[in-house]
Amino acid sequence: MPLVVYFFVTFIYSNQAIHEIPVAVYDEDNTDLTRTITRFVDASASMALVYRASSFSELEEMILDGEIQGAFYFPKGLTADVKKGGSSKVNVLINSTNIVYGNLLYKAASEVVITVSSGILLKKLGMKGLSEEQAMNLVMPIRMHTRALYNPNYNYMQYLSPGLLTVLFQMILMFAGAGAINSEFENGTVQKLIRESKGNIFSIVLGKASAYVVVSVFLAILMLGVVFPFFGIKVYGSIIVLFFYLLYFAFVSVSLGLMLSSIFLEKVVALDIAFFYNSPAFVFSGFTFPAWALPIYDQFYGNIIPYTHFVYGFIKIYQMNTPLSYLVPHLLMLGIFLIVGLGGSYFALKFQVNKLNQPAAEISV
Amino acid sequence: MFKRFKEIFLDEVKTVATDHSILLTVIIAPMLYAFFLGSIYLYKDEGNVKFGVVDMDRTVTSRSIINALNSTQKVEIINELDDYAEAIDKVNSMETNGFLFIPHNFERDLKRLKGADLPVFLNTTRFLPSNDINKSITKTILMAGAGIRLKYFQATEEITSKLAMTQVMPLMPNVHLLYNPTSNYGDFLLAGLFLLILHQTLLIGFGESIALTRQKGELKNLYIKSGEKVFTMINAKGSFYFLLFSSTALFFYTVVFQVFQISFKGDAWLVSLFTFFFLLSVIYFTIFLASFFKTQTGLMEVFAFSSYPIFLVSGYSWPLDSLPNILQWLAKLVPLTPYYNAILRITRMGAEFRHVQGDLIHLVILTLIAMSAAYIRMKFLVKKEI
Repeated sequence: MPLVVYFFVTFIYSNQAIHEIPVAVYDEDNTDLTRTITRFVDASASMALVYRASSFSELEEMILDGEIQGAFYFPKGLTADVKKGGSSKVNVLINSTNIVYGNLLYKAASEVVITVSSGILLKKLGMKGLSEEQAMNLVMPIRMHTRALYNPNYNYMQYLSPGLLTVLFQMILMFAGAGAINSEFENGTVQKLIRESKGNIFSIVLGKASAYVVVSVFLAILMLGVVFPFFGIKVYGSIIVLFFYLLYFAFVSVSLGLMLSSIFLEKVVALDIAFFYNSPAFVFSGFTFPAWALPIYDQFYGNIIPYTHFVYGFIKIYQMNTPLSYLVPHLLMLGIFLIVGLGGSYFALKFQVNKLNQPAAEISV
Repeated sequence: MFKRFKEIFLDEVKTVATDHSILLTVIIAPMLYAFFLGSIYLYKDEGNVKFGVVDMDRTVTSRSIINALNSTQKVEIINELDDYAEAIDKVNSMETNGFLFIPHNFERDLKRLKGADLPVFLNTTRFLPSNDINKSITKTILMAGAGIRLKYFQATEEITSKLAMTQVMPLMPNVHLLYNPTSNYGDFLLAGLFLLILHQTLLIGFGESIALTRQKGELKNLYIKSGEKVFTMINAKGSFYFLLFSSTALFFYTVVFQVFQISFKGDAWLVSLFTFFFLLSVIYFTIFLASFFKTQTGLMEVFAFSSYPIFLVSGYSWPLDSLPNILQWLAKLVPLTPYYNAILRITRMGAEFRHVQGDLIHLVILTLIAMSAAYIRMKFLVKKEI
């Protein structure tokens, strides 16, 4: 199951980025300038010019039909205004219902218009007697150099897949833990377990947790050693540190699952609660939509999910390669969850075992 | 036949009322999830993305750029940083999402028409904040550049401000963001999230009921109750969920959409038509898929992991065209794919029947496929048990 889900979720982003978003052009002006802009649109890697419309309403229909996600409209007189020394507006329609498309088109369309505009300006300034360098420095007086510190190609697979894989990692292990204790009660094997542990509840909890942490070694190897290399997801920090960080997180997740399993002896209910707790973990973590933009109560809920604290440490290792000292706050927070998980499991199981033994004691009396 | 149908229907009501897990999944979870998850995007968009500045120039020009950036809606400049090392430290501890490095002699170079370099460092581990910063900085720098050109034209040509303004930028992009004018995340994601909740709670809840029937060895009994008609059996069992989730869908489209201010421009009857086939197809697919599980917990352990893959492959967040070919075909087998595609265009864009008829045909075909699969599978299982 983890193998299938891991590969599936990563495979979704195997094209890494969005290219060739379909757009159309309605050129009412039909001049050299508008044809140049059209050529720039067609040459853009983010856009694919799929249609030349003959009316504005045709563009609107095509957007509603879902055939195009954006459109350029060059009104009559656009070039004449520019030639007169004025300023003209290039109308760009963007379907921004999907902001992934919308943001990309916005960027690509603006780049095209600004590039053509800069070309016109450069020509004008050259005619005024400025040297090429001076003209260039006036067209673009501030040369902005944007450096993406990590994931420089804005690769969606590098960005999203590891986050999704680790949220599933938490879910798998918490599910495993959530069915580990109550199934002993359901199967009637709990007394045997108590006998084997010589009545030591904590050793039951620790023994169960350790068993699943051993299973998590396989999951971590699958993720870091198979899925990541197979899809070319690069780990910039130490893979050994990342591996042990994942195991620590596995220990935390399993212990919380064991706590649920000790509290709810009906296995399916424990699984339901684990599902309810886990399924929104990704959106509450702030990984895609920042935590600071959430209402305060949602920020609180996000903070009581271990994934929220794990994921930033994870990003720091696999993408940012920060020094280890930057992991300390995340390790400490996860430590609190571990104590709650193990402690909660211990007390809940002790209570359940006492309850189980009570009628027998009464009968013997 | 109606009597038999009614008997199975009432048995299903009893199952839902008595099984904690199914009750939680089909009645409580959709409501709870809708408000709980919906509230995440209550503010719809992020603002005040923390950003640092290392100002080595400390001039009027550098100050005005910082102020202009700080006054944008999306960016909040945190306290100014002393040097590059401090800025990197703030990035590493995630106290800032990037920083602007204004070098020495920035203003001097601009005044001498030499052009000035302005490095911007972005923490691109998360796309939304880094995109917002990038957009705000680009706008600010373009405006600053236009301001410099404006001053030049005014100084050299002795023309009016208005005329100079037109020469600063011969072509301007006039971008119309349709249907989500502020390009906000909440308006983009919320509707998709609610429909996913509808899909998943139906899939898991009804799936549990199917698996439970097998777990308890009641399939044969159910078959007999239906008058030994597999078609009656599956429809009677699914009819309760169809009614229940029709009500849930109605609640979502009326109350939940209203509460979270999600636009509903299109025809409600068209949405109802799509919802009818959507629910039918999900119910039949659930019968088919759940029939492979012999226990309720076994089903939970697998179906619980379906939410992320189904949402991601449906084309709502990541465009279908950008999926690998094999996944594009797989996505076409998920009822959520045509449903999303149509509902989004009807409710947000006001699309009419002629714009979405392809999706309706797609959904009807899926319903027929799912119904046939459910029928054949159940017939096989019943035969095996008898």
